[in-house]
Amino acid sequence: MSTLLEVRGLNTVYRTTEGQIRAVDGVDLSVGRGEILGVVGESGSGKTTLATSLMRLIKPPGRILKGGEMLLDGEDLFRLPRSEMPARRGRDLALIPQSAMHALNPVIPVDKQVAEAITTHGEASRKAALRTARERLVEVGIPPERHSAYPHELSGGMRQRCVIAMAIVNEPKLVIADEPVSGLDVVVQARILRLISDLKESRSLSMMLVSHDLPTVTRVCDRIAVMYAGRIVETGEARTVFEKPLHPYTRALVEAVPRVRGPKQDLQSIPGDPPDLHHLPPGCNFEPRCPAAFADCKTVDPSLEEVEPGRKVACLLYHDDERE
Amino acid sequence: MMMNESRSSTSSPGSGGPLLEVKDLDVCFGARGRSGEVAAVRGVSFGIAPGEILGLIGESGSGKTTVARAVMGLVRSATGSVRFEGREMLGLSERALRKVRRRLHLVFQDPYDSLHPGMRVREIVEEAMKIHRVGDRASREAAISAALEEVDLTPSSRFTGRYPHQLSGGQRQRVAVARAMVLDPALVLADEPTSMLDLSLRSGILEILKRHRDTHGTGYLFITHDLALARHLCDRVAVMLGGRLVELGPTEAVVATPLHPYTRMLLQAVEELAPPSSSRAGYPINDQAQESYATIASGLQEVAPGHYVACYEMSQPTLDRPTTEKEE
Repeated sequence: MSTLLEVRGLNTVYRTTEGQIRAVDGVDLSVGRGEILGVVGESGSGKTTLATSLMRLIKPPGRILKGGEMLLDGEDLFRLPRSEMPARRGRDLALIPQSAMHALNPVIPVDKQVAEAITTHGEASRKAALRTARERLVEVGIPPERHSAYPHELSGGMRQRCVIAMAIVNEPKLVIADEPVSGLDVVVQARILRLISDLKESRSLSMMLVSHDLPTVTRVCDRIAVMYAGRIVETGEARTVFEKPLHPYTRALVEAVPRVRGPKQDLQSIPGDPPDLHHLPPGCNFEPRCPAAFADCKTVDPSLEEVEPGRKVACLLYHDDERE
Repeated sequence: MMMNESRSSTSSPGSGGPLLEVKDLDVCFGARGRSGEVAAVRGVSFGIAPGEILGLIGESGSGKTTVARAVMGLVRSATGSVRFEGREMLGLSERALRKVRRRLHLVFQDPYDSLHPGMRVREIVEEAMKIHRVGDRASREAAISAALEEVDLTPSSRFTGRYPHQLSGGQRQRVAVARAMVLDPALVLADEPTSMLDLSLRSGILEILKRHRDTHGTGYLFITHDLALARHLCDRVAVMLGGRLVELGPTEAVVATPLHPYTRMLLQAVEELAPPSSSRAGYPINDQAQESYATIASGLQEVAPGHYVACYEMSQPTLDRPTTEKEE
């Protein structure tokens, strides 16, 4: 699989009254063609800031620090002038935002909205755009009789389908989905994820899917990157990460997943509080909550190292051999 | 576990636990002069024993929150019967209700919306005691500390002076739980209390609820759409669809041997969302049939001890029911 997106040294900071915080802290990642990369993290881990940074939609008091690279098909989008970005959004890379309800215009029928996403970029006539829009709506599972409905007339799942149609209508190279199923009922969640898997197959969609829900991400993604306090702390093939998590944080997340099959086990919670980006510990960010921490963890800030082919982890537990 | 089983076997849908008995609850919301009424809850009956956690499972719009609101006496148009500690709640005056509510508390879904942003943690937890004129200043202060420690906000002095915006989501929900527990209620109605929380914090809140049940014998109506979560917490679960209960039984029995097609569909969805595992039970799933399930049968029928289902087909004696697997 060839690489479509390559991000190197991405830093996004926010200025706050208590000083500057680094919401995305030196992130490197890549997405292959036809691959879905899952970025998993909890509230405040920086996953939404990461998605927004890649769309170059960060607004003050936030900014992306100079020096990072975002190569999409070999072209560094961070070097483009800001004025160039609106033409790229939707075409080179499209966003499926967090709340479908808020992403849609309440006073325009959904087929017209999807068509607008096409005409915005020029070439097509209004009529042709509407035809294409309706084809995409059918593709994502909206029956023709619902095409001229207003967003409020549709269920949450249908609205999410419309937003997905809008994201794929210009055949972008990369789709970035921010929590595409959170807030939906379980049955609907399962259906939307099935749709995403189907689209991946039929259109060989390349996608970065951001979510707090580790099991969901494991299901649809090829690879996973786990974020904590703005950093990627573990990456690897999705099932391997879920079945054999290495980083103690990933392990804790896996143990917190309630299961409906198999023996009933006690759910584990992670002690302590989520990290405060204003006051990060000098060593490993997870050290204050880590059950496996040892003395060095208080002082040494672990880097993300490859421990097996295709598997990286930022934890001293796995770095020992190399240092000796 | 043994305790839970004996508890649940004494309860039947209508004449259930002595703590809460809901019988033939109907709630209609009128659409004034428009296309008539919407029946949000139809003929719902269940009971909760002291110290029992009953999970009320359903999707958005299934009526589960309306059931909780009716139990709190917040729905004027509710008919049927809601008996809490032997006393009929429906039709009580606002004044009488207020007294009962000392024994009955709600924990809301969103800890960002349910705490007053202008009140400190101390005032938030104290408010209910003030309303019910419980104790004096000193004893209330002690109760606040105890309640905060009980939800693992320790030392409590670190938190009493803070405002909600100075707390994380998990801490806020703990404050909301402490507020519900400070008057030592007999029944807590928890409406999706963990759905807004991150996975790693969720289990902490569930642990607190369980511990409180074990030490104080509090009963819970735990509303959720997540059967996997319910499995870890609830003694029994009741599944709602379109305002009706379609299945009710001991949690393990419902999860291992779901009888109603809708329950199977929910389980199928949960399994599909779960990471791949070797032991998958493939249930037939029919997307379109969902609505018709609710209308097939109205009454719940007992098909195994304590396990009820509202589905004509599944309650036929000739049908081979899959045997319940022993999982523990």
